[in-house]
Amino acid sequence: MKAFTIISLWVLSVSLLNGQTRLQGTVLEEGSQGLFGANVYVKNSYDGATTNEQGVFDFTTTTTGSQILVIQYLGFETIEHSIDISGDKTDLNFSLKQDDGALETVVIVAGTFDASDEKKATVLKPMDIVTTASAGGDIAGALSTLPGTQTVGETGQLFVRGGEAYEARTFIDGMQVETPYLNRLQDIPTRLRFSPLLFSGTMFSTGGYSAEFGQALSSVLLLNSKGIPAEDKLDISLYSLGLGVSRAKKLKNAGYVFSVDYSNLGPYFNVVPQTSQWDKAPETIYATGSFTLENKKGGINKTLLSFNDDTSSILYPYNGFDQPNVLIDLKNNNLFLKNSHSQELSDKTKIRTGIAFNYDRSKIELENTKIDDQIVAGQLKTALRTRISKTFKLDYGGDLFYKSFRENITLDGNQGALEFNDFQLTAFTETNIRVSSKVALRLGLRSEYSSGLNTTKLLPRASFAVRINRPSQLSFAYGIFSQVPEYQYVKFTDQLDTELAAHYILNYQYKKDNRVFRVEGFYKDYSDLIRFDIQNDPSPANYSNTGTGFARGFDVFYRDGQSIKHGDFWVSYSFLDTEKLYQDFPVAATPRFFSKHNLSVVYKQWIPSIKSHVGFSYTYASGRPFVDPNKPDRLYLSDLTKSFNDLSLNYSYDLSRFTKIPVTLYASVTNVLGNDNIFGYRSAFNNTNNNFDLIPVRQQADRFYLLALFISLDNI
Amino acid sequence: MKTTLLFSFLFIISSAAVGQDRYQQEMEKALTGLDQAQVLADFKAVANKFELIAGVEKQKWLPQYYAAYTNTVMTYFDKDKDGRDASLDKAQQYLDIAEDLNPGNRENEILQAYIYQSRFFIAPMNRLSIFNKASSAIADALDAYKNNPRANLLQGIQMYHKPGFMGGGASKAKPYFSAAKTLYATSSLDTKFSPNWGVETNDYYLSLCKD
Repeated sequence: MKAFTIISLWVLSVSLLNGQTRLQGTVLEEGSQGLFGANVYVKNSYDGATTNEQGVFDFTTTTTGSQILVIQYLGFETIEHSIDISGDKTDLNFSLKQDDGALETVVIVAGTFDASDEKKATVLKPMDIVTTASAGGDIAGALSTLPGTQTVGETGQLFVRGGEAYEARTFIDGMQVETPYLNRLQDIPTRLRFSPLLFSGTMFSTGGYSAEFGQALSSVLLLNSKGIPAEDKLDISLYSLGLGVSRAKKLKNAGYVFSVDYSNLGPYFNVVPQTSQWDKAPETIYATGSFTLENKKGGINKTLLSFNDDTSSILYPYNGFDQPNVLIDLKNNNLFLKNSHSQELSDKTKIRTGIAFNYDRSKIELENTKIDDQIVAGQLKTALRTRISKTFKLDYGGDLFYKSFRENITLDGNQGALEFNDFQLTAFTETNIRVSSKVALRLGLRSEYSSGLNTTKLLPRASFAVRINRPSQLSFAYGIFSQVPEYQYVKFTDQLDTELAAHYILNYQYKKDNRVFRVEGFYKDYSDLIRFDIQNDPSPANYSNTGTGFARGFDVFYRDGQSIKHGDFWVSYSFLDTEKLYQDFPVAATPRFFSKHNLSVVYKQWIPSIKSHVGFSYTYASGRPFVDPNKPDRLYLSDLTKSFNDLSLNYSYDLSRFTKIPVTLYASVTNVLGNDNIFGYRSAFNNTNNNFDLIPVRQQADRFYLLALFISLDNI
Repeated sequence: MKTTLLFSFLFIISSAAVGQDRYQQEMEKALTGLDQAQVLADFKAVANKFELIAGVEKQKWLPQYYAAYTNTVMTYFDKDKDGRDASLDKAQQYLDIAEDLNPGNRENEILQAYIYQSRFFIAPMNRLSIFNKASSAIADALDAYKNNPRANLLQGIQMYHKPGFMGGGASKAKPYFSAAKTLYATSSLDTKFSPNWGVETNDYYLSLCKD
């Protein structure tokens, strides 16, 4: 104690010796009211104070001479004020300006839905995919509740803004997935092969996307696979259609997840009658393995292996003919293997590389015909990002994509083969410029060469965003997109060119806390689409790039995760006006997939008192065009089906307090109201009345029920 | 002459002593402030203080560490979500400096996990992957430092907020809080400024796990 007194005295004496100067003043927020809690201090000294509620600071300093006074507050631009400390100063007044750079950077959102949960500004989360009532755990199913998409119930695939399913492409960790959907026979809805649980982030673009991606006229779906699992885990799921087991293991700087899933719809179809007459209900084995390695320098290496085996057969009626049903049998094997690596090369440059391999084989057999399709694809890709300055980033890279399609047909013992081989060489560059804190600009250029068609395309991309005020912004996107025509055409002739689409998108977004509101208008101009006179005619002269079309419309989206306690909902509406003159259309018309009006409402509620999570989704789509061949060509596709309505419910209940181990019960049912939705009509010539009969394409069943138990054991 | 020389000498010595002493004093003041902080404004003032010390003592680990910690803990008293993210950005910057000064220190690792966990709490519904990141970081910390009360506390919090169907819940969390309580009571500090936060939070969570 004595020592302390002496030291205190000493300190006092030294302080006195050094002399003390009083510094006093006020810090204002943008020149108006006082800023509470700002840090004011003499640089490199201990002398400083925090401002009070009026923004006033008052402290003494032992420093003398010319010094720097720092005025600092989080989210505001720091002031460094030169000051000559030679006597008390009591009128030091400062005004701090908001530092826009510290706010969330303005991001270009035109045409994109970012569902990553690592970033701050997102619209849809990976968990939303699992918990959307109508989605049935399918990524495409959940995305089809977003604006810009179209309900096409008999396919289960994504149709974006007047674009057909093939115009939307899927990428995993930047690598192209050639065959993302399970193979299904005609009018049987499919789903994406990949479980949503594999991914930590999803970016869904409805147009105007970055120059890094291509070969998609409408849309890209970018899936980011998960990294090292958080903990060791064994997940078992038992559901009404099969079972799945997943094992996750966390190691030091590494981890892996293995999962196997088996499903057989047979028993279910025995209980719930189906529209189609199944000879063998779909039976699927799905296995995935993912491995992640992290190195000391922040590099991440991810490997994904996915294998799929799928069989099914259906008895299709010979409509219009008095004949027994025809049995169509489908077998599909699919393999996707990918390794991707990302690493900081220097302070400024980050590299991403990837290698991917895709193998898909499907065998279709009907009566005396066998069709054996084999797709082999491989990709090598490198993408770099260099931060030239704080406000200027340059992306550049390229990839080599190889794909080979081979079709062996056996018809009444005669064999034939068709094939298409293509090397696609791509280079891209894109600048990301932050013009100011309020304006961001992205300019890109992509070149695509196809050896199979011997064409080169130069494709510009541009987008920008302007922040209007803190929660709202305006953004615009433009781009030209090119795609090699589908195998069903290029297998007959390589004398074709790529199909083209130009996108123009204008977006307004208001986002505050857990509420997002956005409106987006778009115009899409199609050219060089494939036209032909006769479907499946092998003659090369049958095909040309003379098709055209357009799609225009607007979307409205509102999501609110805070107005209802423990509740969350989103509403999306899309208006679409589209016409194409392509394929064998006699006149320009709206293709049979597209409804003018699409509406989805998704609602989720967590009820803590009963440990339950309930949700519903409602989807409405106005009537879809169909062809009535009894009518003249000028009325091609002029008839509309009745509208589509679906109300789906889901419920999950936490059973863990009874079971002692973590168990969740999950149940869902689609189309609760049992609407008889008709997706379109196929026609069959009836030789008794010399007319075409219209045969409706219906849902496979009025309702689809799913019951599941999820058991999750950790640390084993 | 002799006296002048002696005086100057004494002055130099005392200045040096004062310099050292000033650090001790300011740290003491700031830590007392941290102990007594109740509302956001208190925490901001304490954070300002630590940042000031960190600015002077650029080579000292503790002020950087505490600047990071204070900017983290104050997010629990802040209602502005954007502000909370900004505070955590700042905390991360200070922790990065602390890690450079004292690489591989266990308290750095634990604080890093705490920052992740705090990020999650800003938007629990929307930040599942950050929750997983925090779980992973906390599991690593607990694995390496079983006898650290803060590692136990963070694991307890993590388990407490994890839904039952994922293997969490109050009953799963309680053993960690109990362990932390014992460890807080028994562990001794290396120096008087060594990290010792979390006692009250732990007691609070323990009281929630009573039944």
